[in-house]
Amino acid sequence: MPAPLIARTTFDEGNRRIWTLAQLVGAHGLLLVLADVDSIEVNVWDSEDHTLIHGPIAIMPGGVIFDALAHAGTLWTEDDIGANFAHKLDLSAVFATTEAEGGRTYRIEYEITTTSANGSGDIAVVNLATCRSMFGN
Amino acid sequence: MPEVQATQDVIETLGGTATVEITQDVIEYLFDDFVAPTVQITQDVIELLYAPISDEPQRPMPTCSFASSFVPGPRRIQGVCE
Repeated sequence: MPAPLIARTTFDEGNRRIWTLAQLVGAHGLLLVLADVDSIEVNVWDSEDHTLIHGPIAIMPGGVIFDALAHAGTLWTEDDIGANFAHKLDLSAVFATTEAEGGRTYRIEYEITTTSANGSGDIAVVNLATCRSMFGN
Repeated sequence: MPEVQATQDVIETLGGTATVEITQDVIEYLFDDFVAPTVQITQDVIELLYAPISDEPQRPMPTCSFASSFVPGPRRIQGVCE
């Protein structure tokens, strides 16, 4: 099995949001569309001590799954086609009670449950976000 | 992205001895059209791959359990800060 695809992002105190974008393919071999998705949930974990920082938070699929690929040439730079999944995570909500620590990596993990008709089960989208080390933290 | 699913015993049996080549036209097909070609690996292929190439003791022959379906998931993924 190939290594799972994981996005890697670096943020600092100047960032307010982290986007996670992806081209998702279902068990049918086609790009996932909104009708294929039952529910989406996001959790943010501390990658080092595996504590849950934020979540689980339910996300409305209609706002993050696109039947027509989006964000090409703007946020999405992997290719010129675009992404069918895009979610922006509000960092102020994630770190409302636990402050982000410089040098520490946080695992933003989306769990996408697809419809039974699709038959593909859950899809995980993972973005490893590292807080840039700053003087003083 | 399409994948061939193999059980762990198959992978361990084949481990390190088999090379799978995917030609450019297949890659272009996968990445440009988002359509899945069906990949089928039959029992005789497994037996061919399994043919001993060293003096290692022969391990039990795995049963063909490949699937032609996709493993669903991200094909490309990206993170962006703002």
